[in-house]
Amino acid sequence: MSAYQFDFSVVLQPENLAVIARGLIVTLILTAITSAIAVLLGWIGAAVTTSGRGPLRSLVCWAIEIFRNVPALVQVFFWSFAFPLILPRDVRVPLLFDNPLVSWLQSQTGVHAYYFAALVMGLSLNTAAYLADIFRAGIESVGEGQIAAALASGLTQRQVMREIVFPQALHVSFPALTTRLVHTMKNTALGVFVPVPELMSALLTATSRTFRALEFLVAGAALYLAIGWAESAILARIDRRRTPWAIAESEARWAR
Amino acid sequence: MGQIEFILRALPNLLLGYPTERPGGLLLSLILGVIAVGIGFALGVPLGVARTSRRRWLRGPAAATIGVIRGLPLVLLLILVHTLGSRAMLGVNFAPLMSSIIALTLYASAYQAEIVRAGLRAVPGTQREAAQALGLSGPDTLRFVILPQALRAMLPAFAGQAISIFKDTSIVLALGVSDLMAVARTTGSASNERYFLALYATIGFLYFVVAYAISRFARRFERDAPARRMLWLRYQS
Repeated sequence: MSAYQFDFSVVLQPENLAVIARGLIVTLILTAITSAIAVLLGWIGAAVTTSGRGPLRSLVCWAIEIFRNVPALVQVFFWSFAFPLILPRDVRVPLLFDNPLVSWLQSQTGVHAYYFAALVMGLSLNTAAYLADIFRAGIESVGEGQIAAALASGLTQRQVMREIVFPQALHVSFPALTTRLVHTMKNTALGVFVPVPELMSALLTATSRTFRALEFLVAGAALYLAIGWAESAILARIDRRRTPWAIAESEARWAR
Repeated sequence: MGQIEFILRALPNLLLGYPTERPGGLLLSLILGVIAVGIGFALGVPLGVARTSRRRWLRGPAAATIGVIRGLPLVLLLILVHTLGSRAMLGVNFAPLMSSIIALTLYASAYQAEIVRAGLRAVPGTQREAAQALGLSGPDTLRFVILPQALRAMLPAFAGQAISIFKDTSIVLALGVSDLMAVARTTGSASNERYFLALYATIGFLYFVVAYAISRFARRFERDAPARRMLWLRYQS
């Protein structure tokens, strides 16, 4: 057994570097779009499950359970390969796969618009379901006493939610939100299973060209760690900016 | 062939794997999940305890291990382990199943270690002081006083993590291990695409049933008081 000779210069070869840089950009864009949709849907889901009632509430509750408990990969496959089949072939192909816009986008960016959209769909619904639970827990963690006090001091129900409950709920759920969104960023690597050339696919493309898997995997690992750290730092900063009132109080609580 | 007939015909393979490679399908997904969570727990508890240690030489490496493993996509970790376990690296070739088990176990243990850390922090410091006042040694305090309370409080978080790992086993498709996801994929590509919707709905349902059953079971340990909610949120982060 001979020791493996690392040769990181292959990573820096222009053509490989270009593939990886493009993958990195696709991963970042995927993460941003997916996170934004997921936060929005998750917040709506939490609002409906905490204060909605009737059939809408049970519908949303079931949707959350389904999108949470089915693996992200299955969901991504579903939207990529199964969902288009509800349309007949002569509608589906020109509409989603083979039209001037899709071809133009693919020639410009190397990304197939439908598979990209399917990946976004699968990941953002999955993440939204998790976030709905996280936000709901945040909303429920705001004590009854505070709500009663706010109502007694003359605020309306709507004001109580807007001014008292939501800001605190969001702040309390921020660490969990951050973890989940970083997880979503990592999950964009599921792009290897559908034809979306994000970072992980780019690493495999570069590997198949040079047969130096380990170098690219190590470089990719460093990139994913760096994106994750940067993402957490940015989110922590947003939280601090948004809720200056909460810093002293939260530090006292989390330090315990 | 009708949709239902197609699914019924595929079902034995989806549940147990192809006759020539059993266990496969859902059964293999379950086995992978149980092994990863089980061995992961055995590694994760000491790792989590080390992470909270006051000794820097214990805490530092533990924190680095947890941070790196949790920071990587599982697909990358899986392919990395499989690449490392090749003849050129270690002199032995890992079978895809072996690489899958190692990667899933590492992944599970890092996440469980984080849960252990959060749980340990949730035990009031007065418990440790009381135990020491009674004359218990450091390890005994951990073993008989702190860990039992921490682990019990962590049960819902562990259950959530177990569900996650079970769902994540679907990633082993990348190495061609014939779990539920892979059997579905080969069944699909060997058939007409008009069955795809029914096929993916079926495997989604199979994963859902298992994951939902575990989460229902775990919910019995949760109470809905605001304080519990705070604790739950803390485990999520």
